[in-house]
Parts: sequence; structure tokens; C-alpha cells
Amino acid sequence: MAHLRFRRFNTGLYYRDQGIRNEMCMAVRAGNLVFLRGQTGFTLEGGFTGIGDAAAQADQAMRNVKTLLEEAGSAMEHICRITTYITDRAWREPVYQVIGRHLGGIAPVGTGLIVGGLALPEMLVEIDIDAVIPA
Amino acid sequence: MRDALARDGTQHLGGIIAPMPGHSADAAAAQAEAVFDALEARIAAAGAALTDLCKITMQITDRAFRQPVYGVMGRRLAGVRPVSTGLIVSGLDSPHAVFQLDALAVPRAPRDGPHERIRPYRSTSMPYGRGRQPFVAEFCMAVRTPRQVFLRGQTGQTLDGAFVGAGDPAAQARQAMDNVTALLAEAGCTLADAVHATVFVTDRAFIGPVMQVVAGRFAAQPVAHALLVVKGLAAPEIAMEIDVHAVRSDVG
Repeated sequence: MAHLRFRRFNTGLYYRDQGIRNEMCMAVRAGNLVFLRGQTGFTLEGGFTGIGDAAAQADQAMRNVKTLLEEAGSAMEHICRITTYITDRAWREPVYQVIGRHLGGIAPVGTGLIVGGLALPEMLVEIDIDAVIPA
Repeated sequence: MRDALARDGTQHLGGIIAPMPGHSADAAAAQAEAVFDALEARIAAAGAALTDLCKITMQITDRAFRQPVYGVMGRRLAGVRPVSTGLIVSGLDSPHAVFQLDALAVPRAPRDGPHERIRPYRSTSMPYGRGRQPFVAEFCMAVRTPRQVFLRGQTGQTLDGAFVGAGDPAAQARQAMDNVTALLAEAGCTLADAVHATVFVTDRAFIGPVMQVVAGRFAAQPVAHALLVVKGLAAPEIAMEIDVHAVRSDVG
């Protein structure tokens, strides 16, 4: 069966003023595997929350993760892998606290990186998630 | 967090760090040894073997540590031939960590035989950007498991080793996507099997030209993606790299 692709969006929203007008998508389901687009302070409706506030951006990102996983037929407890990208070491503690609150007792494999930047300068955190749909 | 978690047979084994004081090539090599000790322990705990390893992402905080860290990697993973992506990043979770390893393994069922490793190469016979690199390590361009395909991070380097598009991130992105398409085809897949792409650029100014190419190539079958600006890639002239993961849609 062809992979299912959820919430196609126009990349012009994130890569603005750069002449990019192609579609990407927010989630791909390949059989029982689910892959999400890296989530940020952008709501799924396209508004940006938490300017200058990494914790608020992480909270929005994790809310998006929950919505997207459920739309794809998975759930938070089936998260396997989380990669957290932040733009400054100072964001580490507030961001990880928020992520921890959303994950609760779920214990995925985690990787954390401090990078030089994300798609837009106001984005301070991006969270990349893989999950599964158990049989 | 749990160290090695299975997802449909895929063992996520990273990210592994071994923070220690010291900021020198020797200290970086010592961290790398400890990281690969931890990797072996995690693989054993997961009931898998080192030869099940498919994909590694090498994340280093300083280009000067590339050679010592990759030297350790080449020795510790001799004969394994994973696909690899190499990043120079601004930092890791601990300020004392100079190297992080992210790794994925797919344990093989006895009936499956070894994973197919497509276009194997040795680091010493393969240019990185326009130069060569002194460490000895064995890799391949694509690993095919019964259900998934993992690609080496693709850049402006052609599959024959020439470097295309110096100073032109869009040209590098076109070459990288040509490689992705060709490697997926060699692994029995198409772009329609791709599920996720991670795009790395070394300067914010490259986001536009690179994403225009990447999103354009995926337009018919959009993928989930993440985009990062990193401090560097395998060589200074490499402006972008794309990591693509595919799941064969013809296998249940």
C-alpha cells in the first residue's frame, strides 16, 4: 500500500520570502511506522507562538506531536525516538522540562543537539519524532 | 530515557555521549572509545549484533576532532559498513561532550541473511568534498533491510566521487537529490517510498536555494522533514547534506 501523507502544507509558510512554494507534509504513515515533520512553535494552523520563549515553543511543538500522532493512528505512548534541536544551550533546561512533562512515563530514545539555526531566526527549538502503531 | 528502543524491529541506539573533561584530539578519541563501548553494550542488550548496524550519525563539536573520532569509529566498526552522516554542531547535551553518536540497527531474522550494503567504499579511497581524509573507515552508500532503506547523507558529491557545485548550494542540492533518486532505485525503491528527510545547511542563506530544490523533488510525494543550520559538514565546501529514510511500500 502507498504511504499515507497527512496535512500537506505549502513550504512558503516556513521558508518565506525565499520563493519556495512546494508542498511538504506533516506526517507520513508507512504501514505501522509513523514519521513526523520536525515540530516547532508553529501551530498546525500556521500561527507562531512563543517568540523569544523556547519553553512555549516546545509546548506548542509537543501539542502538535500529540495531534499529528493521533491523526496518523498512533499515540504519544508509541513514540520511539525523539531528536531535540535547540539553538542555544540556555534553552536546554526549559525545553527538556516541557518535553518531559508531555512525555510523562514514556521513555523514548533521545538525542539532543545544539545547532546554529532552524528554518526561521525566531524558531528556538525543533522536535523530530518517530513512532509506531503497535499491532 | 531508555537506551535502545525497538520500533518494528528497528533498534534506536542513540544518541550516545561520553562527556569527559579535556578539549584535545586525545580527549576526543577517548570519548569516542567510550561511546563505542556504550554502543556495543546497547546493541548486546537489545539482542542484536554490531553487523546489524545500518545507519550512524556522527556529531562532533569541532572539526579538529573529526580525524581522531573517525579513526576510532573506523577501527571499532571495521567490516560493518554502515551508512553515515557527519555533522559539526554547535553543542551537545553536555558541555563536556565533543562527540555524539546516533545509531540505528535492524536485527536480522535468520531467514533474512545479512543486510544488503550497496556501493561499499573505504574513506581513504573516497573524496570528501574536494579533498581526501586521512582516517580509515568502511562505509556504504545505502543499506537495504527487508523493509527499510537507509541512505548515506547525500551532498554535492556525485556517486563517482566528483564534487559538484562548489559555492552553489542549489547545484549541490540537485546533485544530492539525483544521488538519492539513484540510490533508492538501486535499493529497489522510488522517491514515493521516502518517509522522512533531514536537511542540513551550513548557512541560513542556503535554506532558500536548497529547500527549493528539495521540496520540488518531493512535490509529488511530500515527506515529513526537519531542517537544521549546522556549523559544518564533512568538508568546508559542502554547503548542504540530506538524509533520506525510506520504507518499502510494497512490503507489508
